[in-house]
Amino acid sequence: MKIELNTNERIYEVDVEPYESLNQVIRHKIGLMGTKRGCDTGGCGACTVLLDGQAVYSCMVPAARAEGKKVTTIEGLCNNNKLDPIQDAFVEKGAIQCGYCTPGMIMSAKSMLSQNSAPSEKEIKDSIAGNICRCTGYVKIVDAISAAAETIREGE
Amino acid sequence: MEYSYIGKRIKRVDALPKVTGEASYFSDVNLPDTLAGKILTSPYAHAKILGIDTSKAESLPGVRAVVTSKDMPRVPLDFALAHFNRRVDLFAMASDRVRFIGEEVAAVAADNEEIAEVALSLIDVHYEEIKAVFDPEEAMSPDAPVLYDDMESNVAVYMPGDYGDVEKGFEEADHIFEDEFKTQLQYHAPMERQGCICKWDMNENLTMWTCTQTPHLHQYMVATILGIPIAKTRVVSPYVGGGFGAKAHQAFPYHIISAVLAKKTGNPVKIEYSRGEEFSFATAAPSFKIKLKTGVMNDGKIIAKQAIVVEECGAHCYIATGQLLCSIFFSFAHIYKVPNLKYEGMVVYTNNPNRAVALRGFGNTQTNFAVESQMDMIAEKLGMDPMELKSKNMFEQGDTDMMGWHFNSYGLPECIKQSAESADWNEKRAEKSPNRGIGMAALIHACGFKGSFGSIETSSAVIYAKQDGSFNLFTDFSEIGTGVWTVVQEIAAEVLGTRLEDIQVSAGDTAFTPFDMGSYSSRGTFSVGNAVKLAATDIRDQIFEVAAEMMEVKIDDLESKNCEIYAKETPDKKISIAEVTHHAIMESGKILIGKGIWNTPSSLFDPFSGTWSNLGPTPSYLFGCQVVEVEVDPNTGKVTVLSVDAAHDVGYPINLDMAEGQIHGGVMMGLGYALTENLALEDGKVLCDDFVDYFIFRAPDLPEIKPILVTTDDQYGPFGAKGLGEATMVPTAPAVANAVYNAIGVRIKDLPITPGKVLKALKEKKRG
Repeated sequence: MKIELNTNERIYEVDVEPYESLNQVIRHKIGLMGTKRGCDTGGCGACTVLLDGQAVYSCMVPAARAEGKKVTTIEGLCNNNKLDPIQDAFVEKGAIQCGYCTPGMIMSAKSMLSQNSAPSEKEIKDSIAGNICRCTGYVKIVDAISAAAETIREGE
Repeated sequence: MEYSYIGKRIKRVDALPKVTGEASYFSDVNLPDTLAGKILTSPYAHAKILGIDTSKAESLPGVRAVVTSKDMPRVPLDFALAHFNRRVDLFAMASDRVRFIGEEVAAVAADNEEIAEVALSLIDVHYEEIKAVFDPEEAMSPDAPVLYDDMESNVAVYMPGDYGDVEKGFEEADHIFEDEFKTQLQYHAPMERQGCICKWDMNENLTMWTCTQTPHLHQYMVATILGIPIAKTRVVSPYVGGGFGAKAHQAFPYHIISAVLAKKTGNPVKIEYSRGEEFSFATAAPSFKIKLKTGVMNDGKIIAKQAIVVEECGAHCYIATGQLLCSIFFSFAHIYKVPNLKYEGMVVYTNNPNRAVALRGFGNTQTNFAVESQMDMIAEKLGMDPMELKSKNMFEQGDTDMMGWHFNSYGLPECIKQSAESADWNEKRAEKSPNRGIGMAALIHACGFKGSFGSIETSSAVIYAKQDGSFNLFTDFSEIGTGVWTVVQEIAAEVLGTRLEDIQVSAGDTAFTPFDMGSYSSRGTFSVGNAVKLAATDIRDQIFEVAAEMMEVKIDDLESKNCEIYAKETPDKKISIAEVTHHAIMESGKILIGKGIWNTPSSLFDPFSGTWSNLGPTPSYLFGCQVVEVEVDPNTGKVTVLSVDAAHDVGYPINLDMAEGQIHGGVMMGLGYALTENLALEDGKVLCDDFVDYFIFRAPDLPEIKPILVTTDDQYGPFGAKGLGEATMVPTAPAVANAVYNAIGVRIKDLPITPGKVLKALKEKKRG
């Protein structure tokens, strides 16, 4: 079936199968490869994108269900080469190792910070509970999200 | 020494591509007309293959090729792994017999994954099941089914060793400790799943996009197995989504199968394991059983030590010999000075899945759990603080031991001291709160263990100067997350006196990088760091030669900093690096190319004498000590980790953020190994195939992890630096086990320390 997907403020007309996940369509039909595919079972969070601002596992959402909603992927966060404060903080705080969980991690943080720009450490940790990182032990990721929150608050 | 970049918090070169989604991993490569490859695997743990009928699958629309073992090269995939005592047993596909659930039997290439899946179900394999064996001890019994017809038993490797007089040592000892320890299968769980894309061009060149920690070793193995020229085999693997050993030393069957399918169809073929396949049969660290006997004097001196180490490798020996070596020689034979030692090491086949693949720590983690748990038991029996017991049995800097290992830098005492201080060890041991406990464990490891792959330990790098004073630096290293690209950028910029951004690092593509062994064995910073330092020094000398002529000064008088070259004696005489490189290339035709080849000055284990001839397997050993505090709920048996103070001897840190990051991540993997991670099996079948059943620590579960970097200025390391990555998870599990004992007085000797085991042990303790 043909659907229109509003992805990163741009409308893509794509032909999808009913069983195809949003993840498959974003990666292989729209061609945005920043969103990763880690497990296909909603277990790791590497595929996290925003659906109307809310973090979702794109592997668990049928692509057709995303029609009429705003999809934001990691590529949509950086405008005119200007990084989102979360991206900036990940770079500054050294919150990256292999990088495979990074896009999903940033999208989960984005979803949380857009609703709460003054999160506690526990709220930060809870916001990324659905995202596994095997490399960093999460320490610098939590630092980065906390620093991003501060930047966002300063800008408010 | 004040450096510009070394020892600072430098931003990673791979950070921007990774936070924007620009970094392209193998599965992000989208070639037109790529077919989906899928592998049919054995549903039986042990069976004969009587016949395979692929006709139905072949006639399914959308199926482009079906292959079986007849289409595969008959070269073993593991031909190059160990330098001695090796057994070669792995082929791309099973031909007449399958030996574990998950062994490759046939494969298809189809227009998409769905068609490929259907095609697999149409392949008819006629099996005849035979008796299987799943327990390594049963596998060693005389009536066990033997997995390989050319062998008399399932013992794939047997390695005995004897130093001094162990029997006499035990006779003289005031106390004897005998314990048995068990460790589990641990899944690597990199966030990127294994896979590759293979494409042949009209000139019969093969390009393989894959996730490998070791591109040049991979290229060598794939080409040799396929029987094609190495130079016509290109391996592309710049960004790798986590390795931890799972992606080292390969060629795995799927690489060869994908190449064969691509050749047969004329299309690119992509094979990518599902997460379920990853869990079920892709990679895991083997399980060990360790029997440990230690003789100790009343004053705490260890006088004799004996171990029987049984490593279960599943149906393929793969890199098990190297792991066995590491399991014996680090924690058993070298962490403490013991005059009388005896060991028997065995690698044993079973019909369990998961080949013996390297995992962070490489055998050392397993034995360290046994040795450091027992040290805690010894200390208690002698009424001694574990710190004091360790100190009584340590080496000293400059020591060369009876096997030939030489410790040019030795940070162990300082690691113990600093981790204990940071954790308030003395206070917490003296005043114990109920159900809370604190434990410690120490470690020794190598950076670049010569003999863990083949018989070399080598790195190289090439650097070209550009007309404007910028440089292209080439190394083989994939960026698996360790930060090696940033390390080499810092080293080159430091040597050359340029800005960081003047050094463009290109890596992970065999088409243009020089040979290297790649990213494993904590060798990156040390080995490729040394190669890059040599290459940068080489090209700096060439630049100085030109500069000396231009400036009319002596070459020995020159120094470079801030992109300029100065004469030491006459500091007002200076010239920019850009002016010199432009003059050299554009006006003199002098092309400036620096090369660095680093051959680690270490030696190979001689199995006949049981010794090393020069420095040991590495010139520079890693040391560390971790202190863990836990709280145990006596009603549920749940262990909660409160804090981890992890001190590691890094020689000299190249990048503080990245060194700390290694410790954070290694400790987290170690905590998972200690408490939750277990690839549980039943009759050769993996019981957990997703992240719900296999529990990896998540952000809310983590305690405070305090990394402490101990500096020892290693004489062989680049800027004094040693490796770090592997060492960081080695002592975590015994430190947890010791803390659990300190908390509630029960000793768990078999990992992971689950609530069930704790409750059972508490019940037994109550019963007395």
